[in-house]
Amino acid sequence: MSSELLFEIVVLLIGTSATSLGALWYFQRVRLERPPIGVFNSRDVFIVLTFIIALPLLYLILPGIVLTGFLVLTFTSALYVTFRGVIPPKYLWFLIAGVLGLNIIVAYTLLGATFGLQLYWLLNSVVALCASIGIANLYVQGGMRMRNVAMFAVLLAFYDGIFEFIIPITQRLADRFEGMPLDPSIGFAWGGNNANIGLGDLLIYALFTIAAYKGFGRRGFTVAFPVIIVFGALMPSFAPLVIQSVTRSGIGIVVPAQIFFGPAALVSYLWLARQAPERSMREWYRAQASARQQATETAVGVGSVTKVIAE
Amino acid sequence: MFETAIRQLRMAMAMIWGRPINPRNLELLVDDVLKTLEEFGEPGDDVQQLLEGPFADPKDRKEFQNRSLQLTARRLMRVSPYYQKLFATHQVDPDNLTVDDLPKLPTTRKRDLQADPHAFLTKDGQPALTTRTTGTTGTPTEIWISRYEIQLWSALSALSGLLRGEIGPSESFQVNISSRATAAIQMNLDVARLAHARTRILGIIDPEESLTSLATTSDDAPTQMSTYPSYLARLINTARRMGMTRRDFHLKRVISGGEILSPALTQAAIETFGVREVSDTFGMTEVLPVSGRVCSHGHLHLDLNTGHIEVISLDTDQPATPGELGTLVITPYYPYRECMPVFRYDTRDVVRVLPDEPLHCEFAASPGTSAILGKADHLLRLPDRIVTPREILEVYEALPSQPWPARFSAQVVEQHIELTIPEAALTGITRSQVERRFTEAGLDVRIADGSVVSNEEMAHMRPIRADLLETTFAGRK
Ligand SMILES: [Zn+2]
Repeated sequence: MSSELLFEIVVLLIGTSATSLGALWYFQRVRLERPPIGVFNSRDVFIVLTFIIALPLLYLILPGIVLTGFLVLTFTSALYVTFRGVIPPKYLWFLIAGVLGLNIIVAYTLLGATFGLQLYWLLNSVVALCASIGIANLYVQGGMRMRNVAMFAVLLAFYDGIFEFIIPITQRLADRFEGMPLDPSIGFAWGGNNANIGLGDLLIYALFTIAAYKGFGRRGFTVAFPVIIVFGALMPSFAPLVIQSVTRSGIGIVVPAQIFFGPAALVSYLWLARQAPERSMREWYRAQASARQQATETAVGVGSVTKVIAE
Repeated sequence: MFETAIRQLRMAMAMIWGRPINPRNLELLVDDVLKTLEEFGEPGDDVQQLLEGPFADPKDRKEFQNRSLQLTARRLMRVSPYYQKLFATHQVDPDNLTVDDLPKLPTTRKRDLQADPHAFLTKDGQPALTTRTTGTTGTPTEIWISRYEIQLWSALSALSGLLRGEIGPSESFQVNISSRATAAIQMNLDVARLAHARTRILGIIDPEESLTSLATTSDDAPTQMSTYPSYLARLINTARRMGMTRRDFHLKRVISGGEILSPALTQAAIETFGVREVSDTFGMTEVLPVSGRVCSHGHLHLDLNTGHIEVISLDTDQPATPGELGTLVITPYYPYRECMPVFRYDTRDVVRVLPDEPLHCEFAASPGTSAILGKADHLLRLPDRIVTPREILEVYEALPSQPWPARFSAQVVEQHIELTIPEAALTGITRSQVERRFTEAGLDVRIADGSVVSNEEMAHMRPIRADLLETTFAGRK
């Protein structure tokens, strides 16, 4: 196994795990505000998909400075969603401005040095991680079901396939972002190797993890997480060995991850849905409440035992 | 999510620009609420703001009122023969009309509607359904409503009912109001249909039959009932006579309207039917969709988003001041009312203006008045004060003889009030004890020797809504 491939596997494993587990951790702890009326439905999937398809095309034709402005706007709103309920507004704006500003400065000044490149990737990765966690939670807490996520992943698989093999812009896109501030991906550079995983993929994995957990509980997670690791990180990494056309040494390696993950996501959903009906947010709240109730009762039980012993 | 946002935007734009609201769009929004409730069990954050409307803030309210009045007046000037003439006579300039100009304009009363109903129909209105109201004078008035109006009002009502958690797929409604109240019946049916709830329209039928329906043991047993206080009273009496208790019913809420509801009757309904709540509401076909409800502090809160509310002094036609009695004058705004609109409609329902201080009730976001105190023509004018029908009724219905549905007649004789009551009211209590009850409530009420009449005679003297009994084969037995 080449060091390039090994490095990529490590980056992808860290990226996908951090996003999936981070999103789950957030989902269990933070309640996002939702509008008085409205549930995330399949039509919203198409709208998000349209954005995911249209934006990269826009990225290709926009001048650098406009593209950066666009990314600043996107990440500002995404980070705002993520941290609104966690950090008081006055600090939040300061923090967002600081992180994004630093990211831009590093991208323009320090990329020549290895340390600079690594700092650049570190900052990018943190921003992309937090953004995908927040947005995924916004959708799932807004009513997006695992059914919708699976559909989303399958559609993205087609999209990835088309843009990889029929209209090959994926690589051009990766090149376009190379060295630009706010590259929407998690990645790293080490010993001349460079690997990253895009925000679209990260968002799908975050969505898949929490939608599975919300809809099917612990079992949902134990199915979803391995599927993400195998089909979202490992298989796309080994794919270049099989599909030679995908590799381009030297510059970052691009992987059409959804081609593997989409069908796997659909099969996992269908399998889980056969075992039990998918839970709504309401049923999830109820399950949470009864779990808390049980925890309290257990604690009380332990407390009275202690008391008996003490007496 | 996105579709819902677009629908809300469309509705908001129509409201802001004063364009007709697309009822279909609103019905789809109702569906969105149902889906939201199904997914989350409750509406999202800031639902209160959505319910109170954007005009709960007093500063914005005045500007909104002026704009809505201008819009409404402009349209009446164009399409309503009656108001074309009236506005011309009083030189009303709809473009510059403000809330402060209103007292200079005459109010519209029922007799105006009766005199020439066709003059109130708009030129572009498409009448679809009429409600015939029979006043005590016997001359019926026909209020025409368009398809657009009935659809719009029902969707608005379903939307707020669902968001407040008052209606929904698990609810089953029993409607005991007169079958001739067609607009109300149609709205009940439509709201229940939109909210995926069940409806039983029974009308004012034999109380035993209504109770049998209420006491159904199957899972479609009524959870809510709409009726008049007088019919509610008959249901309570009949249920008690039949030995029925709260365990026989599944009712959670009684929605009462059309007559004065007393605390004694409310309490009896709570005890007999085991309901948690008796909602006292205000609604009138002439001014729909403007409606109101009484809060836990006993204020009447009317919906300010769909119409302009005034309380005008009994004798001067000027705005009543805090603490003063006056009649409710209502102007439903365009685009909520379009087929047979009225402007400054004097309902003749008397209320008292509340003291000019902040409210602390559950509906405090919208201003209130006292609850309805009775019809202006039924006020009792003593030399030193005015006694309202509600004051008498509340003491009367609280008598230990529980003489409800209340039938009495009251008139001013010299310095006091002479009350005529049926024999039944004196069950277990003497005449002088009854008089003392009124005195304790601050009312100088006397019952003369000849003023206790037979129950039949009293029923004849003082008709109530529950008398408009509709027959059924079951009821004829
Ligand atoms: Zn109140």
